[in-house]
Amino acid sequence: MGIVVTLDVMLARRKMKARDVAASIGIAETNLSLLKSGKVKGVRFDTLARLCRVLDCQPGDLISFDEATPDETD
Amino acid sequence: MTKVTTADRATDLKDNFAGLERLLTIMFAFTSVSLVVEAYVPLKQLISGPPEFASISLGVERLTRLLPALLLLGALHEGRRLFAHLETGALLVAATGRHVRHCGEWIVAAAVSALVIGEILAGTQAGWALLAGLGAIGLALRSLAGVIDHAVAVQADLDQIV
Repeated sequence: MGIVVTLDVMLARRKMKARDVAASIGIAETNLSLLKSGKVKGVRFDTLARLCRVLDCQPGDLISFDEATPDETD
Repeated sequence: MTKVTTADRATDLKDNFAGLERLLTIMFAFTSVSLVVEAYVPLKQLISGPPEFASISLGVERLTRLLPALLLLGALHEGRRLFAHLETGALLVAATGRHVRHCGEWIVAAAVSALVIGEILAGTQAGWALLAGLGAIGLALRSLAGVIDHAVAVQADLDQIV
């Protein structure tokens, strides 16, 4: 079971590029790419808040919980 | 009251580390020269002296007495390397723990060798206290290295949080 990052879905819905989002929230594009692929151990609340502000969404639109998904960060 | 920022603290630390590295370099040079001077005569006796058992035995004995100091020189060298490394600003990395651990091990080795050889002890309470202190510092440094290793692992986890 694990957390599934659905940031790529929201980026597609908003028709925004990862590079532009990374620049507007002030994190490296590499880090956003890692977040998009779910290869991070966590997300800071302020990063999440900035993402929600830029993408005009709720945290639940960016991450979801799936019991069947293995936790890859351990 | 002015607020101390992280950058100020890092600069202060770098200055401290640079100062300590210079101090240990001077101590290392001074101790090296002292040891060479101390070892010169017995070494010369061993190399160019007459091959008599008594003189060889005396030379070896005098050289053996220098072993704890030689091991402490190793600790000084490791300390220099530690502060030279810390000066670069890479604090919570594996190398920090490694240098601290090696420094502790050199000190413990010096304390144990002094105990075995009995040179520093000379039958005095002060000698015992000095050895116990040395050993405790060495063991404490080894434990500290374990804490640093743990902090490095925590830092690596934190680095994966965006």
